[in-house]
Amino acid sequence: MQELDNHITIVKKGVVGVSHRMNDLVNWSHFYTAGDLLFNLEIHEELNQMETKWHILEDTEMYSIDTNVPDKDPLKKLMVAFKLQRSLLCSYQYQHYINNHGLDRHEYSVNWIKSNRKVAAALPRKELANFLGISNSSLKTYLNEAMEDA
Amino acid sequence: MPRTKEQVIALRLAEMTGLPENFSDFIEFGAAFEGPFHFSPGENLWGSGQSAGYVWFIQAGYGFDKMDLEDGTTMLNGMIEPGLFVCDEKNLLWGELTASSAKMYTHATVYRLDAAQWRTFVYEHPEFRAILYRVNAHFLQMRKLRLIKMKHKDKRAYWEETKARFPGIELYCTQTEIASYFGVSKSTMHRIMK
Repeated sequence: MQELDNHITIVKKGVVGVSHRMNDLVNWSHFYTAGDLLFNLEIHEELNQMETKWHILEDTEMYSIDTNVPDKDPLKKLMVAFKLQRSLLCSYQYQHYINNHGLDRHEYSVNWIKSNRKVAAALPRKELANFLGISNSSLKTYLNEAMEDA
Repeated sequence: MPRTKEQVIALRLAEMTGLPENFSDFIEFGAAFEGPFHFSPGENLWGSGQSAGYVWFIQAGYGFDKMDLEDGTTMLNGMIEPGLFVCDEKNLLWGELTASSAKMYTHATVYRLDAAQWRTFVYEHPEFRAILYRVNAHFLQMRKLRLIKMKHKDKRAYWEETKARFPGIELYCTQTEIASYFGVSKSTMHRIMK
């Protein structure tokens, strides 16, 4: 994915899952869906100590813009601003996932399942429980709660 | 021999990037900082809900920064240690009111750069901008590890590791803030901390 160096990419439709490896365990950390921004820094070969990978989980369409433009390009100033935000956002996004994980597990898990039914259905139960940071038995309860409102 | 703020900050950037500490952008960046400022134990570097934002460089001293969560609670975010650049990221990214706070629990010596000046500096220094991306790669790696530890590391072992790294943490953070840091309920955290 080096072709996405210096790019800002947005998901138009579909789902991209992000996994990492730690001590022989592969974990999902987040899923990009329509409207989300992707930065390839998280999977950049030189910097990827945790074998982070992108997984296309369903037909996905993305748009990408190269922030590297010649100095005379009329959008140069805008692209410099984009490049700076890109640099900050790629690490800030992880802070957002960390913050989410600090929220009440029960409420967060039920809401996440409700908002991401297709992803939840596509993942093996154990991987989904790992992703939400809950036990398999809690997952069963929370799935039932989320489905009650379906 | 005492080092100037420019040298102190340039040296740290050199350590983080592998570039020489006399790289002109590093010296210029260090010179843009105000300070040194001295803080006493219990004093805030910044508080939540402030419009003014800064990038801080910690030369000496230890503290904690805490995030405001969407559910209205506060989460311990991490340790402030010598050699770190710290800021409220929402403020730096979008100019929003600060959504975190940072308190020192030892005497501290720090420098600060106004967020708007920081942005102007980065706009005007293309080489520094390119390096910044790699500096952020370090933070990204730290956060990946933190997230995965939060999810999967044995919580009792994680608590012991955290106590060893941040001695006296329970004196400076509430049990709820610590529980959020570990991604567990307050009652579970209470059992782990016993």
